[in-house]
Amino acid sequence: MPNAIPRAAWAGLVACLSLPACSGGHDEVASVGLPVVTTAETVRFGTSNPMVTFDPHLADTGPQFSSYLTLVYDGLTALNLASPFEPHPSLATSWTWPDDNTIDLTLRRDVRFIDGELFDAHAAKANIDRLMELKGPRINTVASMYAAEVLDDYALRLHLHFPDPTLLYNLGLSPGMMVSPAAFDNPDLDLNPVGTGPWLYDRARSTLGEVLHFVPNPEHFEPTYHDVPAIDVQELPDRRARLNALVSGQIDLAIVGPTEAEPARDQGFGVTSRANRWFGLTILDRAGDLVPEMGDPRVRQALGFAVDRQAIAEAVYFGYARPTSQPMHHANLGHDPELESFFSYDPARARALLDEAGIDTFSFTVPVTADSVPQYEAVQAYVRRVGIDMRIKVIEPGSVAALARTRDYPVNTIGYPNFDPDSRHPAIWSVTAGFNPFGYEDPRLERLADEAIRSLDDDLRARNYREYFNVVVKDVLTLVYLQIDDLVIYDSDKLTGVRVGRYIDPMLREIRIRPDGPTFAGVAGE
Amino acid sequence: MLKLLAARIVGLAPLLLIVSFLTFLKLHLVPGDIRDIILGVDATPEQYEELGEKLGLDDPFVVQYGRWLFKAVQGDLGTSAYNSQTVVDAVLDTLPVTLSLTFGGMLVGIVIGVPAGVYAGLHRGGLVDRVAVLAATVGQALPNFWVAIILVIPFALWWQLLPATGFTSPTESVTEWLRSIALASVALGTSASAALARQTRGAVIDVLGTDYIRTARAKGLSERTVTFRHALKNAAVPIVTTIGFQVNGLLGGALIVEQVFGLNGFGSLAIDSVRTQNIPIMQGVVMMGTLVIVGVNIAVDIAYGYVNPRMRPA
Repeated sequence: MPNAIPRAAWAGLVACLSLPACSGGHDEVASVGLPVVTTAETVRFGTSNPMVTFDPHLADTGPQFSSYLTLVYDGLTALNLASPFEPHPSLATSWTWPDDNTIDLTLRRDVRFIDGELFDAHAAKANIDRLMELKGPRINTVASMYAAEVLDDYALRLHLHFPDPTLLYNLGLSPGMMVSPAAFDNPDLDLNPVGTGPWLYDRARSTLGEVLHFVPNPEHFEPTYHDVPAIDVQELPDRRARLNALVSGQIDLAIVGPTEAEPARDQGFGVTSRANRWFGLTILDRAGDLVPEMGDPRVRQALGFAVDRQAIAEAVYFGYARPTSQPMHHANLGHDPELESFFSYDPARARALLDEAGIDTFSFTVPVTADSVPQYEAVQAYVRRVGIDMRIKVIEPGSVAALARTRDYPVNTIGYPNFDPDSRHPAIWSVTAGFNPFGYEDPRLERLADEAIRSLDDDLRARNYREYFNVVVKDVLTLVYLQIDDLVIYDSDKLTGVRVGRYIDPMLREIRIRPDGPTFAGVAGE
Repeated sequence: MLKLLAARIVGLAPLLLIVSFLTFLKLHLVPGDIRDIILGVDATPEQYEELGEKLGLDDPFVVQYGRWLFKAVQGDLGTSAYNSQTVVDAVLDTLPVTLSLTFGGMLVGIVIGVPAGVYAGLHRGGLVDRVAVLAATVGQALPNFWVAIILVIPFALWWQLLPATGFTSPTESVTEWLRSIALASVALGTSASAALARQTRGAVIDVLGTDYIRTARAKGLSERTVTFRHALKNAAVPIVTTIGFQVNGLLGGALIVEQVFGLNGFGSLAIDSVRTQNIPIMQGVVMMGTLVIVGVNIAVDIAYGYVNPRMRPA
């Protein structure tokens, strides 16, 4: 009998630990001064990308943009996955080009920042001025703009150094997001956003590095966003942990890799994807300064013909990748259908090219982070068969980009976005590019890009960039093997509108909670 | 005891200085550049240089360390390299998670390891002893992250009895707090219980072979009195030492286990800060980790005095 109480206590403890209802608060997400929102009404997103800054003018575009900034800020324009390179109305409702170097924006009326300040042309000009003064990470994407002028309270004129076809698009990204001028000097603006966006950041209920909680901004001009009563962005660095969290019902969607997408699909979860990046070798030593053999285009072509792309796509990426030979994805400017299969799998031709170049065998070293080793080991095995000794040097995570700016290695493995050639040229192939440390210059590329970047003629831009990437592919300035997918898995019984954005994360703004019952968990992708 | 405490606290300052210097040096040698993370892949060389100047990255290592140290001795550990979050806030946000896991792991270790070791020691050579020794050997050999992954599958994914990820603060709900650390604590506590069982068994066997135990039995004391009043009290010193070691080990083990359970603890903060070259945060993590470990060692020293009066400082 003396043991009865402890046994009962243990039984109670075990039972209580097993029942979420015992907690009394687990199923509810409360916000200070706002209605209680249940987890069923909350979109819970698991990501590996931490919130770095809520100051859009100091933020890089990328995961910051889609997971955090688009919730709390509006841009002058907006992006839409249906026509991703067309700027759509947002805080600017329309625009005209009085001449090639001037854009006039008509601004939305009756919009207030969350601190109560009015949004108007004066606020927009103050933001443009601040953007140019701070010179944040994305300043180069709006470098064409040198001044903003207030025409009237709701009309703003942008003055450009040169015609810029992508400026309005870029004003839909972090540089074009509007911050309340009254908050410019807030020391914690980077942790406490003051925008006009559709959601409010509930700082009191959030813990940086763990979970950020967002609730609807009742004043926002687009009421359909409020179909989602709350959004939680949870930082879960480990991909397997994100899959586990989805399976056990703790989150509703997550960014994962191919090894997690397959089990998620098998268990009935939705999988959505977008080919946003390429996998391959960025040739840094294009003139053969470090590895003389690398200076011969025939040798670089041999690296292309030696590899069975389809086999790597299936074995390493489980089908979430597609063979290609060119950096730009088929939906993007600069894509040339004829380049797609320029490099077929032809080891005999690879060997013949090496023979033609008078090379029996040679070696070079490629820096690879641990998570990319399987892919590059597959490439290594293929090129070895034609006599090329590609050595893999495992490097620290996060150091691959820094190495691409040095002359330490002849090639690099950084994965670039497969769109926006206007940004890729000055970053990778231009003679002054950061990722062209050997200073290789190809006058054809400089001319084609200069013309395209400063032209409002869509035909000219398409023609120039097609020619541009013919040079990049055929001279093998960058060797592309695959277009690889960014993947998001999600609870398709609960959510609709889940699509991967161009910047890795899903477009949280577009997600809605399904009002009806279960549906087919299919696979969607571009 | 006060003298002991005073001596330890005085010794802490040079220790922290050496640790901070070595950490700063090691972080300085880590490949990679914070500018790539802040600026992204499209940054121009000019932006790269400007940011380097702004962050003082081009200054000599000693100047950078001196700048950090000058502020640190004034109690200012600085802010994150990316935003205005203070290092103290970042550390204090994550410390409860890791301390919870360490506490949970230690609790599992003590509750399983000590009784198992005592029983095995008292019944040396018996079936239970052999099973305990085998289990302890296996338990110490299993990596705790592997145990964690294995535990998640049935308890979180199949039966959904316990959460697979996330942490609930005990101030929000004690029950949810226990649920959120349960699997991670068992994963961490497996190796701790194995180590404690082995040490406890050895200590009990050693003590049972001593002259004073033989004398106690010769005096006609009951086996219960011999065991609990004389043997176990003296066997406690090596057990306390092992507990001290295990706490430090659990703090280290938590770094990996936190990843498996998606817990935003000290380990996640440390790994994130190294991955993102966030030197101020990493320095804060190491400083706080040092303080915690020194604190544990002082607690062990104090515990010695209680379990064995001969070890109290004069």
